[in-house]
Amino acid sequence: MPLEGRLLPINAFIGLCKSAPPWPSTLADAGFWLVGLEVPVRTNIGSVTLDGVAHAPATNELLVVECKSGSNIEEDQARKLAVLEPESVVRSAAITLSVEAKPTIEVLYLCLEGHTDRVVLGLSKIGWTGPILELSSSYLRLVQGSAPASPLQARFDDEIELTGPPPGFVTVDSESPDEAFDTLVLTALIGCQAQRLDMISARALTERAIPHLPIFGKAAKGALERKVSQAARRIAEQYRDNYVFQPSSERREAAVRILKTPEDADPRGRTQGYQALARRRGEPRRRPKPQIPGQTQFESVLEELEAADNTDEEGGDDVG
Amino acid sequence: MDRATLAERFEDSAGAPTKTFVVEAHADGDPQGFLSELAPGSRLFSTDDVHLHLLQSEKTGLEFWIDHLDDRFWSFHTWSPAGQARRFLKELVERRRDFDWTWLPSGHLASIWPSTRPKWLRCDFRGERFVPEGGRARRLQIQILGEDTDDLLRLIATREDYAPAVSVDQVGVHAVDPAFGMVDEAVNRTGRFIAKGDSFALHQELIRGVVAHYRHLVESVERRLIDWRQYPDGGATVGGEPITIRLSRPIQDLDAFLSELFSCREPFRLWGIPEVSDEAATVEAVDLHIGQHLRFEIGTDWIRVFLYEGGCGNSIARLVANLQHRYDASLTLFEEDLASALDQRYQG
Repeated sequence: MPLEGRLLPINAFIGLCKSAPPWPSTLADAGFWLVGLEVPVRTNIGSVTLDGVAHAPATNELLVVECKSGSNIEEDQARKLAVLEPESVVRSAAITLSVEAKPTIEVLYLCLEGHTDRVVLGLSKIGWTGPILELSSSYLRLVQGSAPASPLQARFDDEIELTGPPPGFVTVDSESPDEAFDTLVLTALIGCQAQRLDMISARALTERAIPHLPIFGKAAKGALERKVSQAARRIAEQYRDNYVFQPSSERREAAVRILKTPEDADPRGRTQGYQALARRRGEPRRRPKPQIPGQTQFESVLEELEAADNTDEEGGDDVG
Repeated sequence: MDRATLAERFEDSAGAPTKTFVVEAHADGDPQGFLSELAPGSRLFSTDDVHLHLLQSEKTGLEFWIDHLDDRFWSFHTWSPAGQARRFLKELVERRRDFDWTWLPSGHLASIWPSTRPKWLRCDFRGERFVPEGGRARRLQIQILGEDTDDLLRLIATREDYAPAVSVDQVGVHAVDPAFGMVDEAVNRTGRFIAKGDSFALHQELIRGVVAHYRHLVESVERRLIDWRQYPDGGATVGGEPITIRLSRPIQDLDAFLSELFSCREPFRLWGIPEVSDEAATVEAVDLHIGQHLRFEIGTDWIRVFLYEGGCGNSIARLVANLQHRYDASLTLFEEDLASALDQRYQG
């Protein structure tokens, strides 16, 4: 599913640290590696969780990115980010330093177009003059401060043009709508059917449905498992022939029992079985495109010709 | 029974050509166990070589000599009729998640033996379902037997509007090595080798070269598997990267393209419910051959695929090789090393 606006900044940051064209790999190109997401760190005024941390191994520069999906600035959090010690970040994110250079740190705020003015204003209240990067659907640009760590200096001088959405590494969190979980859970259940599993626990289903589960803390993981269970219940209602949802009890955890799999059918029936699972409840079978009046359906003519020739199709559906 | 037995049979000039099917098998270090339950109704025989088994189908009478010295890409040698042998293996490929064809990209077939140009080439592009009406080459099939047959394909591929349809499906060479001898060898895009000559060793070397290129592609993809790791005291990181395909021609009818790609049908066998936004389409998909989750993000001229930990590089090889025969023979992969792995060929 498309990324929710709320999740764009974190995915934009991860994408900048990776090669995921056509998304720019600005941070990766400057020698930064992604080393942590949602990393808790101590400061001398309390703990703070860092949205993202990148490290340049050649210079030991650390870049901490705070992803803002809205316009609110939590002053307490901003003050803690302003006093981060690089040594604490190195230890918390278990970063391996392979050169002698003393680690340095920069904090960068990444915010969405439309919220920038309020983010700038909010940060100015705590005296923040550091870099703020603005993300829109068509560009990334520095709206305040110079580019943070030195290898980045030139790379953010000019606006970076964007020609597509950021890569979807983090596709849901505990605030995502039900439909997002329905899609992921159905996908995971189809995978179970393709693998001929008879049963899957809610926990295992959550791990399958949400590959990025490890970034979440214990409470968020629990919330996500509940969301997945609710989605599994809805899907089981929708596809009663295929799944039964078994709620948790004192003696067992919640699970989905898989009643049948298209794998048991012959190849044609198998394909149709999976296709039926791709149609949402009530959605009619997809109809062929209407023909333009007078237009020759050349393919059907060719099919007949080939059938008459009785050729053995090498490259057709019957591959191999 | 050992490898010498195979060589004698290969070199029997009066006999049928040798058919070798190279398949990808995930035997988890137990090839004997894997083989013993691979094909119910077949009998498995050990040979003097622990990496060589003989499989006989009681029902069909088919016989395969299985060389699993390469622990991932196994050679099924047979002198049974090619069509029957293919159907037998096809049934196994469809039934098992741990058994698949090798999906050789068009570039891998373009040159299969050093300094040797193909005497036989077949181009088979069937894009009717993907390329909308009005396209210049929605289907292109060429067979050419003669010397330096690749000249013709090069000639056609210089025309920008035909290049996306010039995808190699079969190739044949007369391979010679003074130390070994010679073989006439034909290869198709699902790893089927048919050979006749005076050197079984040369036949095997040719296969090894093609498989080495294929392995390089598959393993390069697998080095990019998306792998989330949790830190003991909180937080996590992610390794790997999506694989991005660069299309040489833009997708004009995205709905039709998605509907076809995620139709669950052979050869892609992808399940998914596409969701289209202004910027791109996204699909949480399942590779039905192995039951693995993939995420697709599809723009006008690019396809980004997230292959997660536990996934198999063959999923990408199958996708790319089949897109070359259905939509765009000129597609490539964005990253330089992957692009080079996709287009690997001997320099002739």
